[in-house]
Amino acid sequence: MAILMVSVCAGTSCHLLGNQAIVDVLENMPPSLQKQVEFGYTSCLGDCGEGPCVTIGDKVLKHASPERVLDMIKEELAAKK
Amino acid sequence: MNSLSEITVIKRKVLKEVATLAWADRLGEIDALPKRLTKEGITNYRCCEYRERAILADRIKLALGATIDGEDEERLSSIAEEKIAQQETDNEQPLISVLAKACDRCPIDKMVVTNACRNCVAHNCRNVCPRDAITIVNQRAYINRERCVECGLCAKACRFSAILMIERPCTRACAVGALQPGANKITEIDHEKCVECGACIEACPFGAISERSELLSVIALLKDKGVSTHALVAPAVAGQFGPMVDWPRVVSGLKKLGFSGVVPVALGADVVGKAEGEELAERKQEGKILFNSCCPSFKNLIRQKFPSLAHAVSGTKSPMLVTAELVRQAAPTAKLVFIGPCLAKKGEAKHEGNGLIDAVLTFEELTAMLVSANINLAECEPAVSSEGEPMPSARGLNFAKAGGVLAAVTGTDRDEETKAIAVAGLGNCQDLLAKIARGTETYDFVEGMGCEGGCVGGPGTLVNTKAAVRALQKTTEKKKKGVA
Repeated sequence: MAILMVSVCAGTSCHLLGNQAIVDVLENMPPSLQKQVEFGYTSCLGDCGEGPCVTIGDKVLKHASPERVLDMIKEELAAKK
Repeated sequence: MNSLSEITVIKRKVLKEVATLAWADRLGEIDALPKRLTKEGITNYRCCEYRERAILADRIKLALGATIDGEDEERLSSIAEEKIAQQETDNEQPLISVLAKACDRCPIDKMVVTNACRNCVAHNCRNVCPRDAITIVNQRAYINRERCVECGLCAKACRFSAILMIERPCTRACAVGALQPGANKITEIDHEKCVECGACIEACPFGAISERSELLSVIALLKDKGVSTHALVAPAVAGQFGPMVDWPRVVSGLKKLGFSGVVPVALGADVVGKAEGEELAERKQEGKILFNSCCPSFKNLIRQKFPSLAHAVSGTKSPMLVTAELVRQAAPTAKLVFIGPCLAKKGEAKHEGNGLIDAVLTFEELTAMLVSANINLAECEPAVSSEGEPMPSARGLNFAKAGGVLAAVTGTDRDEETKAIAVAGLGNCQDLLAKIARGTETYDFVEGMGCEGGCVGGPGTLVNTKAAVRALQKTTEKKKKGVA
């Protein structure tokens, strides 16, 4: 099974705008998702005003919220299959 | 800090925008900020954009360091002007305020009968009520508000859990009972009782309680090339700026921002740990009890509710003030800014600081300043520590978490006769102090922390307590292995 790479921008701007909430969600994903996703950190994706930014596969999600990150992970996984 | 809400993000955006204007000397444009923020997407939380803007204007006033009780008509730009002209920060005004326009006036009836009531035959609720406050009206239990004393026995007695005991999140969060619904049911803070712990700020789901900031005075200090300003950074700093930012990067980022020196307050904590350890030995011989002196909320609680125990508080100054004295010795004319997770330190700085501390920032406010100055800590070149620069020990760093002060003061080789206890969370502190005041429990040493988890759980933090403790452990383990 191919693993989906997710990286959360840990730059100071995205940190201020709430990347913590996204990290919390990624750390507590249901086991079925955890097996298919690997997440790490990056800095910076160059869109500081529009954070928090998250890269999911090869797409960049701006103004990310925990819900939108999870939805997009599911979409990307479904598209891969 | 625990979970991060939309409210927190709005507050941070406001801080960032105000700091951006302050750096650029463009505070004259601040009147347009509420409208711009709603246009940029902050609109979804209230009945209409105009109310949202009025609330944002209040948030901006607090970010400017002003209070929000004054005339609404005053323009933000003239408030900003006044604040810039004012040299000293106005510390006599209350630190924490209720944003009346944002307060949702949550219900004040504590006991509520819900639809789940089945008008059962047993009527346990009615039978258990000590005040005969419950009758059956329209096939359902009805609580007579005049008689109800809100004891909660009916809620416990109902087999269907049909009676709820609800309380406003703000009043529940306040262990000292300083928050009460006032006129028009809007929450009011009794500043005589408030110990400035900040628990209510985090508790309110409407973001209706917030604190004043000293952003403007710090930016003014940093812009003044004629003064040298030093940052004193609290031990709780570990992990606060995210997983990619370690202490050397924090140092380099703060210097980029304009600080001439960056000093870890854990250095002062090392001194305090030793001094309180000696104090403990002396007091034990006299059969007296010792309390830590580093947590200002804990000290405020004792001063206000347990004056008979005031003698027990250590005479040693807090790590913030000890570190400030150390820096002052080396740089007598320097301005000092304390940066930490704590709101109550603002009060400590003004009441006990003797003018040593010029301003207090939270990690949150500092981060807003960094972002407004386009500094990304994750990409800062790590600062190289100079030879002979004093480094704090793991013990000093551990002042940041609950139990850390106790460990430092009682020492690893503590004799088993020392009876010591660590409590965190203002409610827990209060319970323990009550027992000690009554004489039902005795100790040699008590570590009291106003925030759950200790300083890492403070209201001015950026990461949750678990992540902060993890980062702190990593740092102290490195220390023990001898890696800087």
